[in-house]
Amino acid sequence: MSSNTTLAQALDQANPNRIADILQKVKLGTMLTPRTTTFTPASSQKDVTLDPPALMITSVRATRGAGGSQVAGPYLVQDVGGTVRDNGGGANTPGACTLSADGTTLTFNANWSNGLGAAPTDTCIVCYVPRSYTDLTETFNITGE
Amino acid sequence: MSSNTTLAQGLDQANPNRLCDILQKLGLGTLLTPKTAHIHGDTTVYLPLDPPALAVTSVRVVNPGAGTGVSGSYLVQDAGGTAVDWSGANAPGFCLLSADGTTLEFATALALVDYAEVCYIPRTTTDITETFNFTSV
Repeated sequence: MSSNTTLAQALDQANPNRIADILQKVKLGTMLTPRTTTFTPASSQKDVTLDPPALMITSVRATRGAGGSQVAGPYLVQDVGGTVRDNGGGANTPGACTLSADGTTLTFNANWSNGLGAAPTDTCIVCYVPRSYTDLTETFNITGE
Repeated sequence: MSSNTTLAQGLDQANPNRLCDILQKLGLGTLLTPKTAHIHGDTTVYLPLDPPALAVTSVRVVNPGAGTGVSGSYLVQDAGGTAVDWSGANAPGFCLLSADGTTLEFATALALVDYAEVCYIPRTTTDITETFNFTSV
């Protein structure tokens, strides 16, 4: 006998005969390890890709080097329906970026620049908590014992 | 035979023979309980978070009158950012969270009468990057 449920439902139920299998799919250790990742995107990009995807972003900050195009400072994170905008350049004027529904992509207003053929200049520092390794809405087959 | 790995790796592997030991070290119940901390100033720009934070969801500073901190809502940046005082209804301040999640840093020192209401999700009780010795069973 078997039944299908989502991985999230299976984790909620926490069947002792299946909990190890479920946790191996979730990779809870990775999820509970906060990440700080520094990106130096190519000059034509407005996006940065998060790998692993984010469950929750705790902070986003851009720095601007010589020849760069991003406005330095903190950025707030919105859902994809929001409007992106540059940091205002002032102390209390954060910019806004958007996070895709699958947690993989942050999108900014301006393209990133690597400067004029020099080493990468603009950077993006993202602190976040990763999401489950396997999509929690994915079907999980529970075979009865 | 035994092998060393981190707690995070051990939890990812989820060996049923070691899972209980790992979960006991992590304090998952504490981690999954959102915390609201009421932390008074100590005449420095730093406020301690105990337990350390995995993710801070909100920070609000209250200055009851005789304090020095700047009242209002604060957003959190990583430790490489610049701390800024709150400046108005639509101009939030910024504070910095240390990489280990233990300390919030403000631009202006908070007096003893000042306090911050910090809502956050705690980290694991034991550092999840710590080495864990798995003895084979």
